[in-house]
Amino acid sequence: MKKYITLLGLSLLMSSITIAQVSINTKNPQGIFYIDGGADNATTSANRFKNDVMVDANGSLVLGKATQPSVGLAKVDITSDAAYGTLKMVDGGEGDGMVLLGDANGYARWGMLKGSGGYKLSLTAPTGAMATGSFYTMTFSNKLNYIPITEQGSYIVMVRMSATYTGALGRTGGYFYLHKNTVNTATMGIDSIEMYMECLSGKKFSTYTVLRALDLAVGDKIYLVMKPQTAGTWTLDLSLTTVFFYRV
Amino acid sequence: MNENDKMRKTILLGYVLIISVSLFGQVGINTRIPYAGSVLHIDGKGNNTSSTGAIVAEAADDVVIDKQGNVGVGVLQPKAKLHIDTSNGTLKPLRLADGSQGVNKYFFSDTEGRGTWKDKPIANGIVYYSATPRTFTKNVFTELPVEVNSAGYSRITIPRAGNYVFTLRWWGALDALPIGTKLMSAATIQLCRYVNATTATVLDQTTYYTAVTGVGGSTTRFSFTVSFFASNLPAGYVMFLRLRPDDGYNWATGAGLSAGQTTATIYYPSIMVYNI
Repeated sequence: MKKYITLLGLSLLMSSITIAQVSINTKNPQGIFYIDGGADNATTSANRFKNDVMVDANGSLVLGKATQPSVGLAKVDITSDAAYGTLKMVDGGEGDGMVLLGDANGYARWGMLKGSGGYKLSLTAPTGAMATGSFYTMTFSNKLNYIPITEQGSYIVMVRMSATYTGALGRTGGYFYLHKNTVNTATMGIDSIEMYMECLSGKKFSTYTVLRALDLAVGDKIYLVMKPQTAGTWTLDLSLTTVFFYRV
Repeated sequence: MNENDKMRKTILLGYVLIISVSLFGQVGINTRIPYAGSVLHIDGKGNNTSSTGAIVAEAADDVVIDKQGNVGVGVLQPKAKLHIDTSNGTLKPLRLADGSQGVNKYFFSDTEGRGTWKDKPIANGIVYYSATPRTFTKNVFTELPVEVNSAGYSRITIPRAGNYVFTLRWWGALDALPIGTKLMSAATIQLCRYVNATTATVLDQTTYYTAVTGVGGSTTRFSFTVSFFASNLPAGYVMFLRLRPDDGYNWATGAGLSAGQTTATIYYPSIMVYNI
């Protein structure tokens, strides 16, 4: 008990001392709070200030300046020698070509614009034979069995697939559906197509088609469902089955 | 190291221990009354008057780190991992200078969530045609020509940085398939970046199977459509598609055409390229 009080007392003492300027790793600070990350400000290295962090008298946070900073040009002012070097933000929406977007409250997120941020998904399931007349919801490499919508808009789902056909007919047909938010196999979903392919039993066939999802909202989920129909089973070649997803 | 330095080190260590064992410790810099909800509170102008409430104007020059590790700049109660509030000042909230900044730029992510400035995305698309007869020898990759609509190039040059779809519309023939024989034709098709005459980087590929029924000779024609994808292509990258028949037959374009047809692009494969 005595020990605790002593420690608390010391800590209160610590925070009740007015410290006008605090620096770490340097004897020559600027601003109110200064960290010389590399402890190299006394050297002649051309990069010596690039590892520094400063809070100036305006309360601006300044990182990575090439010369010793004295005042930030913005509340958060970050400089880097290299593209992609200033800011990293991981919110689940990041991806090649995603763009920084904001909402009414100023919260930022990575989102997709027309002409930017479209991506490719590979499939991880179904792995077994798909039976005639049964519905199969695809599982994607994003570990989800749907495509999450992070931006209001209309989208294209492009399917490139190969599968081994087993059956007596030299032709197969199957349905491709997009469902929004829940898979209701009693309906045709928000878009669907039946594709017929010539094939041979025990051999692979391929097909390629495009589905569309109009006027989606943030938070919507898009499911891709396949159903082999014209007699025979399909076993997807997952390495050759790919979905492209983009905004239109 | 002299005795003074040693002593200073010891004292600093003592403070660190004290701070880390204290349940309610806040460290204040330039303030006697650090905000109670913070762990570290830097008061730029030293003007805060209360440790319990945030007076918005007083917080405008403050930086805090709270118990969740959230950083507030100009705000004492950050609502995101990094929360910047400039509503009580003239400074703009965020400046990111990595050499790519410029007027009307957009901030783009990479696969890791790191960002950089690029031009506003503008959808663009073009179809590259060909009218060059070509044999695609079995088990060998042969490049698909695109000499029409890509003036000055025998390949596809990316006009603007972005993510691109390349759609191949194959039109051609399979050589010497006997009349009435049905075959699952197969070709491995690769989307490549041309680096130099001997080096290409494969960015996407698939093997595509299409049923073909022989009509004899070199006119067992068939067609299909399939797409390829490559992300984060910079402007100026040179791309091409190449195709390798895997079904034991040579493939051909421009075979068996009449004189008037040999220059018609519809009787050859074409490649549509657009950013997404």
